Amino acid sequence: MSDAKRSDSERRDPTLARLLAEALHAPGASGGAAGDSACPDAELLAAYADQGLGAEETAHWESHFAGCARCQQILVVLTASGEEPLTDAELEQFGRLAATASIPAERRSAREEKKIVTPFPPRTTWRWLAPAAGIAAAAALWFALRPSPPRGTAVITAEKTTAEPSAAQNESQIAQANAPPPPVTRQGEEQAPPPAAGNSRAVPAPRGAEKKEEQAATQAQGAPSAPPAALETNRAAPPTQLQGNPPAEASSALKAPAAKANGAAAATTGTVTEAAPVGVAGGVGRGVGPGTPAAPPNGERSVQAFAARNQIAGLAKIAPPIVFASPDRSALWRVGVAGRIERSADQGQTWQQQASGVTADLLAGAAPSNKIAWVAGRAGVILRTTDGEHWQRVASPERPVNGRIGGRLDSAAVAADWTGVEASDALHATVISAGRRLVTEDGGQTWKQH
Amino acid sequence: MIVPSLTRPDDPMPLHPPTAGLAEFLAAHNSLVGRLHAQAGADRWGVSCEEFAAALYRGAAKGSAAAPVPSEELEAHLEALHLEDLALACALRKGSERAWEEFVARYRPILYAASRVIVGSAGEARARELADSLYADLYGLGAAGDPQRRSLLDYFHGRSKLATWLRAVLAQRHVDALRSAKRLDPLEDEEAQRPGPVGRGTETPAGDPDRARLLPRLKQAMAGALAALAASDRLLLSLYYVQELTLAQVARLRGVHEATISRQLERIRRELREDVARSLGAVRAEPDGRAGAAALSPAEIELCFGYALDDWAFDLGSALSDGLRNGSKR
Repeated sequence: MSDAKRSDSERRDPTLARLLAEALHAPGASGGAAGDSACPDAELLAAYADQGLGAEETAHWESHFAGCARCQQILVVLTASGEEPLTDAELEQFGRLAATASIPAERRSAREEKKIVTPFPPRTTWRWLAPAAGIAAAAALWFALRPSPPRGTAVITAEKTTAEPSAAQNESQIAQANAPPPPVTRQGEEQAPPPAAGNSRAVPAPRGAEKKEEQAATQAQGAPSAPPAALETNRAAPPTQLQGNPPAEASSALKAPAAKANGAAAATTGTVTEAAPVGVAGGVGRGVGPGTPAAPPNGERSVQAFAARNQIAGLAKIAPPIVFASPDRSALWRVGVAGRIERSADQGQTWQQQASGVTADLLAGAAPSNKIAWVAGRAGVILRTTDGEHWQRVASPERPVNGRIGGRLDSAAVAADWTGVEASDALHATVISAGRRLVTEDGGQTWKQH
Repeated sequence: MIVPSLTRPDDPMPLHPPTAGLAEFLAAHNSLVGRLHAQAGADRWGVSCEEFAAALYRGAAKGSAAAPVPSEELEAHLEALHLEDLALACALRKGSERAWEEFVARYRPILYAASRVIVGSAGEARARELADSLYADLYGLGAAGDPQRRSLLDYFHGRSKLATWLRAVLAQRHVDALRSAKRLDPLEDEEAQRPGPVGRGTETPAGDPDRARLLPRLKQAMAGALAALAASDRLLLSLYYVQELTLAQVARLRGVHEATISRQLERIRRELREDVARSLGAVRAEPDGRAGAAALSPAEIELCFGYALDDWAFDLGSALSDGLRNGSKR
């Protein structure tokens, strides 16, 4: 034990302190009589950590904890896991966003009605004040700047990405640093729309049915996706059985294959109820044709809102759903957080859940036809469907093996986040990350730098 | 009067059917349940009073490990629940899209942050994997309308904050995964990895008969003193000395000020020293009633503690667990 941990009494009585420090430090020695079978479940552990147990319960469980190495380790991890502060850079960015964001007048009343609840415990120390304030400010900005279009209409158009927000320079700098890369044309110009192959990145959906005839694929907006329905079928670690709680059937249910989850998920889809756009089809379809930029429906303010939202989303690591369509607009796909994929055959009126087989956030998609589509996301995830229904994972060109990526020793050894994808058919596709482009001509079996 | 009817025509995913005793619970606590339902703001998630009542009832029926919540304490128990979190959990289990939007917006950053701390140097990808592994289990498996649909959220009853519960689940998974991996290690590797007693070993230097005579008595006295500690004090010692939490971390876990933990540790150390000295200074009686070792003089007692400053191995961790098995005397 370091000197920094020693209290005054320990310094005054080093003998006993030394005795305790040496003798108590015996990993696994305190197995005790409790044993794993008597360990409390997660809720009791959490209630203990929240000081939510009564005196009798507390005494009972502390008696167990005193002799149970497993529970002590869980309590240690639980305690430590609540201490993650925002980094200095994140705090600075949140502060700048809070200082420079302007709330449109018509949204002020709606914002005031919203109750912003911070998830932090009431008894806080100084270490929680900054992240709590930062996250609350970001949440307030996100709710305030989040567009509230009429039901069923989309929000953003392609041209937003072409215009820099007229807000403070800081905001644009943050956008450059944090926003997903804007769509890239075949010529490499940073403006929408992408080439005629249903290629897209994050695609904002256009506003209103009247915009159906204009619009390239651009970054999509909408409500955050619902959670995934499919388990990752190739998950390495088996689900941990909940301690002391689950009946046998629940444990096995948790390990059931993705097929059951698909059924469950599909049952939850239905009429689009949130800001997920009806007009998406038009906008995305527009992007499929020869690229012709269209005027932003709401001009500068929409650009600002879109850019700010992406900044906050990027900082808060909340990925907005992405919508893309086939060239004939007969098939739309919507992808988003935690591996969620949905398909619509009626131009966004209804959506059907599809099994992605992954739990990573999906960040971009492209559909050369109504049967063929490519999706890319975080942690090197690349998916492809050739029948419009079933998705297969494609080997990522950036999957690390033994700490090496592409033959180079990579200290991070973390697969890239693919933020863009372009595709012309089932064999030819390009994935994009941080300005790098990798191309496949054989359906993802091999990749090469473009 | 609330009539238990958990299946509504427009409900795509009804919650679990009523459990035995729910009807009596509702009959006896109708107004309380209604008040708690309003307090929780469950309506904004589309959670009906009946559904919320069922969630309250399941939590109350689960009770503590020692005994179910007595009926006279039920009201206080229910009012102490984290009602808003419980309502959100109900809505999540129903598959409410708005509830899941709220969950992603509010809790995803928490899960990612907790995962980053938990996996440490394993990296961002591993942290995301740990956090994302919860999502499918939280969403649950089973067809819509299937009364047997199970979700991880079935095991949340509002006794803690939802955020803390999520972190506890993550912590459990992480620790159990580590422990499982450790159990697969060959025995010799495990023995090699276990840090041995600090110092040069357990053998006493040759030529020091006092040391050979006194150290075992010191060990025995210390073991007896630890066994006499209250469980709360033993836990405090383990968290601080074995798990090496800081004073601040222990304080947060216990819900007290850091200075309180420091004073508690000081008290425990003082009591241990006094108990050890008292034990060494008393005549030790053998189990069969024969007189055992003679009492040590004050000088010899100090000599014992002096030996402890040397490299002497005393497995206090084992002594704490032995004390637990023998039962606390306080």
